[in-house]
Amino acid sequence: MKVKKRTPKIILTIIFIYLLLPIVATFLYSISTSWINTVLPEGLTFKWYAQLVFNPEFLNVVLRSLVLSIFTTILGLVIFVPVIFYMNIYNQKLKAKMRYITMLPFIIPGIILVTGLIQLYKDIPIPKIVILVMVLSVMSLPLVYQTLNNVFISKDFKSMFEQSQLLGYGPVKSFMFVIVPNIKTGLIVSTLLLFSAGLGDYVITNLFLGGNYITLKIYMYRLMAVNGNAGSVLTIIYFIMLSILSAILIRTTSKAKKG
Amino acid sequence: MSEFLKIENLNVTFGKETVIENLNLSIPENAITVFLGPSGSGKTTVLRSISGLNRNAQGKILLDGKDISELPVNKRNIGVIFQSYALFPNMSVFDNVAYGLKAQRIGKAEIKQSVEDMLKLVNMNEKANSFPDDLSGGQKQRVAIARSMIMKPKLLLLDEPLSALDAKIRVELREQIKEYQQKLGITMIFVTHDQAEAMAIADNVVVISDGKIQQQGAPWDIYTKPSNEFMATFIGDHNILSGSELKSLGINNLSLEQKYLIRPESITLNKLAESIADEVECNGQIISAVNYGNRIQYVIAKDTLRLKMEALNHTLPLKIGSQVKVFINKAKILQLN
Repeated sequence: MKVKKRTPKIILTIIFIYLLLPIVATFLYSISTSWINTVLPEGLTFKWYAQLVFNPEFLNVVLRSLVLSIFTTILGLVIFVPVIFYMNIYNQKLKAKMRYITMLPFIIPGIILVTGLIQLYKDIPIPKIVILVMVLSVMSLPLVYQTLNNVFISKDFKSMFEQSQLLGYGPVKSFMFVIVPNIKTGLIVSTLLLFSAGLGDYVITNLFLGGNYITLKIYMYRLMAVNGNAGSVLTIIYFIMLSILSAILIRTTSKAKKG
Repeated sequence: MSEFLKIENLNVTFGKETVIENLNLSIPENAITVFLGPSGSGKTTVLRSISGLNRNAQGKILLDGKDISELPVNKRNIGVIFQSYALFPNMSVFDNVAYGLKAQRIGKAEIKQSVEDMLKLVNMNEKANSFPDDLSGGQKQRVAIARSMIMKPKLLLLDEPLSALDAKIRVELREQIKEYQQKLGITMIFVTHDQAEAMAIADNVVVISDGKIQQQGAPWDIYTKPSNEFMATFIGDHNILSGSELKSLGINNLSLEQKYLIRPESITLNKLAESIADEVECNGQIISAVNYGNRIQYVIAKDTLRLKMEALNHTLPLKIGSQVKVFINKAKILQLN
């Protein structure tokens, strides 16, 4: 079968427009004075942006989301990096079990997970926000595992780690001098993935903490119901934040492939 | 034999599987000892136990009279060269070689001098600022060797260091390793499954199979006086015949139940020159001829017996099916235990 050279290009362009259109519309809506019965907005204004940015509640929401994301990232890295390192260097057999575990976040629906968590922790005096951070870290396991494991199988890290010790360094220094610099790309990508998992979660945070801990994502949905323009502003801000994260991700990974 | 390295009752188990059982071994100083054995024979396990990388090893290891069994890897002063080179890809050739000296907190100027001298020795001084990814396999392995040798280890262990290289580089690097050993007087243990490599580089060969030492000795002794049938068949080409089979070839006075070894080079064909007094002559037919370039390997049939022999490739090759006279040097027939 002969496919015209232009066909894939046309299809891609249509998909691109289809995906871009809602964002353009949201952006237009976020800068419109009023857009109800007309094809295009009646007037343009940045007042919704000013209103949102100077709203103390908004700053609180951003701060909360940041706290959640940063702790999710730190916890995720502290737990996963040593485990994935250990599996690759000392106990490859564990990887088969790990592959099974990494499937679990896809299998268990959010609602069941949250119900289970509430049941499990209802009598244990740990702040719910701590549990949320732990859950969000664990839910990011599949992505982090895949990323770091790929880095570890790309080179003979076991021999490198052993060689460093043979040359006189202890295990901790060997890890810092030989392992960390060579898994840097994987660490950056994992950090960003964990960070965006913390930033982007709605289902688990909303179900688990509800109104007690309003994050950016929850605030966005609530605002949308009250004021469409302000909701659009937040959506655009959120979109820009994720775009920056994605751009860093793409740059980091493409550099690693070249280098 | 002096006992620079002494291993007493080494036992290694992985899970329920015993890989090495009660192994005892002594290695001489300032020589290359080769651990030779088929894949999975346990030679790398012994090597890793000596270096301390194998955490399942039990037994006593004495290096230069000092018990190192309980010392961690970084305190044993043993170097290891891996087949995969294990160079640090984030560091230049210079920094790779300097890495171990930095751990010893030696002054910068001194490190620079030592690294430059070492890189000159392995002929890599012009690549000091290159990164491992820019080097060929042979160059990488020379950097790895320099990185270990600069530490002046008491013992340098080489775990199949040439196996990932192509044939020509292999031979070159093998000669160079021997040269470094003689120049620096380092005691080396070289692991390989390649018997030709072992014969070429070794001062002392330890043949290991199934976690046990089959024989230890100079390469010449290992080849000419194999201690058992495994050794006879593992090293070099061979004809193994029973006493009764040899009798059918006209060789008498041998125990009929025993097995005997005849190396292919102890057999000659259709000679013009006079026979050696101790030779037996019989007739046979060539059923196979394989050309290896400088030599030709023939298989000769005599009734139901098959004899392998080798001839230098300086005459026209004999055709398959040709009738030939076969001469066997009786003095070279070796009884196997």
